Amino acid sequence: MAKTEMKLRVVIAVTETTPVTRLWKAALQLLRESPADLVTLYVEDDRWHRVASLPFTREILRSGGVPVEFTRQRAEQVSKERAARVQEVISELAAEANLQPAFEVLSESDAERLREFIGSHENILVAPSFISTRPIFAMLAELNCRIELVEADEEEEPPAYTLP
Amino acid sequence: MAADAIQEFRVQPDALRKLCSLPADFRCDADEHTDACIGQQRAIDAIRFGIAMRKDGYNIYVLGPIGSNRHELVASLVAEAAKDRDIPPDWCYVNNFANPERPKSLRFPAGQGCEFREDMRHLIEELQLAIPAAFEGDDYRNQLRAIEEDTKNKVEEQWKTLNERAAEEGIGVLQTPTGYVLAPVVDGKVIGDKEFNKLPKEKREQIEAAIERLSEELQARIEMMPKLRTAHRERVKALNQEVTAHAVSMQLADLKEKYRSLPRVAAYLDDVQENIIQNAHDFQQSETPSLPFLGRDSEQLYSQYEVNLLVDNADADAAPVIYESNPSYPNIIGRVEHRAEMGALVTDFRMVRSGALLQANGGYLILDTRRVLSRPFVWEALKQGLFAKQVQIETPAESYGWVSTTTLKPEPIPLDTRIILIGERWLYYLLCHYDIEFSSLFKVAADLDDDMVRSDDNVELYARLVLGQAKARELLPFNVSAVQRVIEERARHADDSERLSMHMSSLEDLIEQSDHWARVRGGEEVDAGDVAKAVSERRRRLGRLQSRIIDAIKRNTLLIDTSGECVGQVNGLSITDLGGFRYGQPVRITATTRIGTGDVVDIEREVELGGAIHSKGMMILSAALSARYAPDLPLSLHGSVVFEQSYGGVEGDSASVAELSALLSSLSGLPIRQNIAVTGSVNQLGRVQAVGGVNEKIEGFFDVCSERGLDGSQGVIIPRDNVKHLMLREDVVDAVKRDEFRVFAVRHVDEAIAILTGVDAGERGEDGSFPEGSVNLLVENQLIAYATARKSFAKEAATSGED
Repeated sequence: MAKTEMKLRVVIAVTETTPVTRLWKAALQLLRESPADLVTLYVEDDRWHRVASLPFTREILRSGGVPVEFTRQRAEQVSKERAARVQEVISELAAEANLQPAFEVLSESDAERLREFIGSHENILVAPSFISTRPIFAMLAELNCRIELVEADEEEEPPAYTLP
Repeated sequence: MAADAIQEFRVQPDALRKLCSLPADFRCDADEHTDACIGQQRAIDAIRFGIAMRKDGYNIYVLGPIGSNRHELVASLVAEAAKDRDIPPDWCYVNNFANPERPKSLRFPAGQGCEFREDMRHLIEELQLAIPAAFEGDDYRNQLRAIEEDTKNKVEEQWKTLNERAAEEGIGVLQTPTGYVLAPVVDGKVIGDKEFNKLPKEKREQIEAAIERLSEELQARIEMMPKLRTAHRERVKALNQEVTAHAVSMQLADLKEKYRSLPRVAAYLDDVQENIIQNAHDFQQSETPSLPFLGRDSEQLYSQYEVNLLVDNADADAAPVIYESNPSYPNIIGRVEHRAEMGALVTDFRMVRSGALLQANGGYLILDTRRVLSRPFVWEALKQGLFAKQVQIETPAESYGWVSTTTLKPEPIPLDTRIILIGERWLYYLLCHYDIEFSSLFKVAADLDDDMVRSDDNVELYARLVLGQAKARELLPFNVSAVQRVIEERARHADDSERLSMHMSSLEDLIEQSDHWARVRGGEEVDAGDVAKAVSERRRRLGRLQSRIIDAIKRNTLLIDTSGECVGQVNGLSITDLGGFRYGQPVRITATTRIGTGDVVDIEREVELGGAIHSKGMMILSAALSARYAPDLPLSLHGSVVFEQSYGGVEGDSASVAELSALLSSLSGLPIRQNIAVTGSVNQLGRVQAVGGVNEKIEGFFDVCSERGLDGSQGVIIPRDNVKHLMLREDVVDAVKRDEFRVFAVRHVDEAIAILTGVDAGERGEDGSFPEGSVNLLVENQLIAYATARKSFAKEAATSGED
């Protein structure tokens, strides 16, 4: 019986605060070495949901005024907006390289699904070197896939306040 | 009246047309020509006076008919005066940076306005390079970077200290797209409600208190950000201004020095500098915005420093002399133009346009009165400018307050223009009468003469004028006979054998047409025959109506007898003026009389076909009858006078001799000769007075008689005072010479009635009565009879009333 040939897949793992440029370059290098599908795996930070679960959490608006209640719906919205921003950055980079990578979103708490997604040995995971500090990636070492850790900058929040 | 007695009233042929005879040594090829201003010394002096007077209100009104050479006369005199006046200043409009709706006016010595415009254009070009270059320099960038860095550090410092304080208390500051959320952090991880509830109560309270406190502090820092932003902008603005100021001051230094002697210009340059510095930021953006309404492009930015040169006297070598042939409001006062921009009409100081008043500022503006008065709003605006001694460029709608939208109101410009109105006399008199301001603004009336005395000197001058005009028009040379013939026609045009018409356009027409006929016959020079041909052809061209009238008389459609006698019927003479052409024609006048109450009815007046002067003439007839006949008795006459077959208006009193003659004929019962026509007015004493158009009237009757055949008995009676006006056609003169036609000149109505009836009028003798058989005795007897009859009627009426 002939062995089914599985197609190689390069997965870029990012979070909402991951600088993606270096990861992208590393992924492109891998693609040049061997043809593969390219997927961006966005791991949602569920801290927004946690903080929204606290009854006293308020959002202090940058525009001033009375702080507003930070609800679960608002947490969901913030999370989606963050994901959309990362997807936008990836799309711009992909357009330059004439690529159309898939964009998958996973919850940080959904470790099982993450394992299923990247657990195949045909995958090459491109991830920032600091990723191992995030609890969800603790199982990476157990996975039987190739992992390329890229020395990216520290996770960074956008500037707290930018003067227009 | 005896035939030989009539002869004394005949006008001799040589008095019917005063021929021109130039001196024997007169040479047509001499270069000495007279200009077209001869005979106008009074008007010339008046114009010179008005031009020379430097006080207000001495504007000039030149009175004269169209074709009297008034424009050329004024233009030559004004041009002569303009050479002696200083060349007036240039005027510019520039942007008023403080109030763009009120552009500022700048005055420059002649020629410097253009120079200033070029200087500013050059400055703009330099600024377009220098200012962006200054902002692109390393020095500016370094300073800007330092400011930005400093501000950034201040901002970061605010957040850093807040983050540190929050971290110390176990609180994380999370950023949402629109703000911040403070959350408890345990072991580097934001905890949710489950983990939080597991914490000891004391710890939970502590966290909540910390979040509360930090929230307030965070809000305070957020509120501080706009201040930091403002401070940052101020610093950047100050830097921009400093950089701009440096670039601008270098560029403007030379200009300021150059125009130091013109304080308003120097002040404007200060304004320019200040404005550029204040708007330094705009000068960094040299690109055109993607959409026009998003911002000012560089063209708009720099255009505000352009110069609108309104009056440019750079090339002038004398004070301006402007003739505005279309004196509409914008052409006189000026206008503010607009351009369509995104569906709206916009304007600025660059679109202010000057009118003739400003173009003529410091000089002379020549206008046609009729055109000025017929263009809406112009007259009032002109007077307003003269009174205020300044020109305010605005639309009539603004001037009258009909618009409320914001528009430009440029600063008024001082006005020092001498206005010269050219117009007809009647307009002058109307303006004097109806416009109380007119006399104070137009103090000088230059009244052009219609004609000049036909003295020997003037004839020679006139001959030179004719030759000069012919030469100027490159016509064939006029020989002496042609010039003499022209001069005779000019006397005819003046309606006076002793004067010469100064109506230049008709003279030009005559010599041009004479030239034409000379060329038609292949002549190398114009002779008297060509001039005569020009006159006769013109008459033929315009004589259709006259021909129709003569034809109607010939066919007895219009009833005019030229032979026989008739009681109460006389041939009067009327004249029809068709503008440039007049002709005379006989008109039958009839009179009937009966007993009445002393009134002579003018049927023309009764049906409102008679004019005021005609009616006056008729009333004089009544008075003449009352005064001359049966003075001791009431005038018991009812007379009726009518112009037969007259269906248009009748005006003038030139038929009053004829009308009186018809009445006298009716009263006396003596028939009037129908081969004689009469013209002339009469006063209450029976004195015959001169009338107008005597030449045409004689010729009118002559033409009718000629059609029927001249027999030597036909003729015309005219006032003796009109003999000097006679310039009859040559064919009429020739007929008189051949004794085929006669012209009588009378001083008194008695002379006229004697010629018409062939009976002596008769003078009242020492006994107070008229001679037996005389016309006047017959008339008086008839009037006495009427009075007696009327008296008896009155008695009978009184008696029957008593009964």
